[in-house]
Amino acid sequence: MIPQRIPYLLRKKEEGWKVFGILPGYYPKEILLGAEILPVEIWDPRVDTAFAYRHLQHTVCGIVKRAISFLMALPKGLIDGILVPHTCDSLQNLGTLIKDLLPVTSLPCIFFYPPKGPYRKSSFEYLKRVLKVLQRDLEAFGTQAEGSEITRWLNEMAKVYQAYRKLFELLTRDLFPSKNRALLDLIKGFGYLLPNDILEAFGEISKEMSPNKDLGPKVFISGIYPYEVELIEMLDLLKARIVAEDSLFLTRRFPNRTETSEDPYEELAYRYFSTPPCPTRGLDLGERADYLIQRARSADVKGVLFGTVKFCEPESFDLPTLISVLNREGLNTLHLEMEPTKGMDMAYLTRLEAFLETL
Amino acid sequence: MFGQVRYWALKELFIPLLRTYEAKRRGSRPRKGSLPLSSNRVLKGLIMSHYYLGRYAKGVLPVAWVTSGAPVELLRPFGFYTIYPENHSALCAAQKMGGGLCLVAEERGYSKDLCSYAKIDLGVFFSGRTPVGRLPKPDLLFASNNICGTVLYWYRVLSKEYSIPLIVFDTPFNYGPLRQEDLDYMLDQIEEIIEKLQRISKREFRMERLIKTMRLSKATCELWQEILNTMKQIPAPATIFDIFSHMLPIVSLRGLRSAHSYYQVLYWELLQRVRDKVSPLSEERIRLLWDNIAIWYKMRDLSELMMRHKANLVGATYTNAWAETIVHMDPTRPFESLAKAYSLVILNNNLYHRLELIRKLATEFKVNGVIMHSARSCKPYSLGQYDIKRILQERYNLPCLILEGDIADERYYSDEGNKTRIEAFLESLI
Repeated sequence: MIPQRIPYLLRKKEEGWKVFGILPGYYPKEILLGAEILPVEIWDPRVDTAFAYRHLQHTVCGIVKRAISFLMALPKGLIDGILVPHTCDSLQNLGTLIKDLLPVTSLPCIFFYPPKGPYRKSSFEYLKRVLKVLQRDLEAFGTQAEGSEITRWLNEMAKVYQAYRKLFELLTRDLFPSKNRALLDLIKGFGYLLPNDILEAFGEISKEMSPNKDLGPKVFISGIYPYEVELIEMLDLLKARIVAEDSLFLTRRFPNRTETSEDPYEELAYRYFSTPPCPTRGLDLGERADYLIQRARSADVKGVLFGTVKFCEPESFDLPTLISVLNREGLNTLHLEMEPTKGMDMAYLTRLEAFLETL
Repeated sequence: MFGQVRYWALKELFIPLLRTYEAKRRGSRPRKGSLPLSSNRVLKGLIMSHYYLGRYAKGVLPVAWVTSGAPVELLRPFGFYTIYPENHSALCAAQKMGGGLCLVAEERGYSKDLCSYAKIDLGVFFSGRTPVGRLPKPDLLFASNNICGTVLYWYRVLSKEYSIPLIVFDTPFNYGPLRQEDLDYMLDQIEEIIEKLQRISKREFRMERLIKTMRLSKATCELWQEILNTMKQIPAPATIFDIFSHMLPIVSLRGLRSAHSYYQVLYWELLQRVRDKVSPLSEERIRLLWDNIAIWYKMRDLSELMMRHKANLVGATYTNAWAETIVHMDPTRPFESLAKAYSLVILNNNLYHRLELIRKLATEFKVNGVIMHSARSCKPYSLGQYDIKRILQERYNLPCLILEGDIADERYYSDEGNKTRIEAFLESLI
């Protein structure tokens, strides 16, 4: 059973954890955990986004609209600070907006800029330096992470990555008994649970492991954040099974490192540079296409579902090339553009149904 | 060999003739009631020769496509012929080709919500249609994310399509003052970029050439600043639409002698107008500041609308961007000054900086109000405008108008709606 987000973070606060709201993107979770800060990622809070339109143009993506609405409606004391990773232009400006022009600045706001590709030697050195800057910024906020503490959390996070990888392996082998909705809870847990609580949830699930009897078409889902509940429920309705994923929310942040280091900052840098290709980091588009093909083959899927957020530039620039390359490789594709603040109508279901039939 | 002879013959013989011809030729239809600058004809010759020569540069010189905010000074010592796709997109938009070219990209699967500069460029790539005849295919792409992340996504696509290398100058966003860590990172990158440029161009890097380019670049930007300063006069000697039209050299020919020579001509003409108290308006009753990129396909209409109401846009945060950070350009410390000058530009800076900049410009240019173009294409320039407007009005009593539109795609501009809004705004200022 995955704990609900708000009761969970309130409980953790009672246990002495400080809580930081994290805007979407890559950030070194281990440094925050080492400083006894629970990072709670703000991707899809259920809030009324009417407020956002007072501050943002309608052409700004739903993730950003939700984030600002959530931060402005935040009950006092729920979070202790905000971390803004540099992910895209809209999130970049949202960060400076909340720090410089809006009253939410009463909360400490910390920024983190990971280097953009194509990577060079300087990118590696810079990342190590800004990881230390982040730690220094957190110290100014009143928390301190020792090197050994960060190493401990690096080990814990390695187990978490492994657990999720195992999960997708089981999904590929039809051994995950639940529907996509239950899988979604597990996936979302990555955004706010402590590593040991994630592992505990995985432990409980493994006890119930049995062959999945409800075998529909297998789907590989890709996008910055393709996890709108409506989409997942539609997949359940059509008996399709997510067996592989490529999202910035989850596996694009999972390292595939070949080198390791005793130095926690160096280790974090190795991990960052070994994560799968993502447009927000400016990595090569050809490499990304190759990666998706290889993932699709290893998961034995025939189709890739691109679930993008309307007005998301990083992802939208890649799609025409990716779709063309994947199609040439015999992989079917469907692109569903979602507007998180508006919900999904039946037209999506029809398109999804047609796509699944091709699989 | 033939290509080289042809290129140099064109450059040394034909282009000077073309420029002389253009300078003497009658200009295009002037805006109603406007007073066209005679420099316009010189500019036209310069633009034509730049794109014309570009057609024959391929194979003679290495060709680089560059983003408007990239430190082009690094390319000049290696002899690259540079093309600026953003500038070319603006040119297409001014010719009202923007929507059509965007549509070509959209038919190939690119979302209609993407930046229209990028879509126009992709539209040109797929269709080959351009008002300049032909663009030389690039050997290298050189981008900096100091203006937006979009250029990075866009250039990745070009890099894949053309199978050519992409060099990125990564400038960490300044949420506060420039940090030493960020500066060190950019200095390291400059060294790596030079190494890569040596490999690609097969030419050796010579520091004295870079310093010479930087001196020229600095002098050109200072001249540009002086040109903008003439607009502080009451009445201003030109309109911001004139100044927008004269941006190509500062954006695309920075670091070249031709840009500097051209701005001397423009500067003297504006200075003469200031001395003679010549204004393009019969009466300058309202002075305004513009925020964001120009609406390239609506320059004439907006200019005429302003003139009818005796209003003059005299300054812009956009034109100021090529002058603002020139104080950091010190050719005796080339790498450090390049890093500072390029990473501290308006779009790589926080919104507090933007707010203060608008306030400063509003005071210096003695304006009655600000028109903020909320550009569908440009998120880093547009996101935050609503709150800047609120603060400028509430705290500093500076009236502002938000104008919804797009930089290059005319399909996203509502003529009637915006006209009514502008007229109501101008009436409120009298």
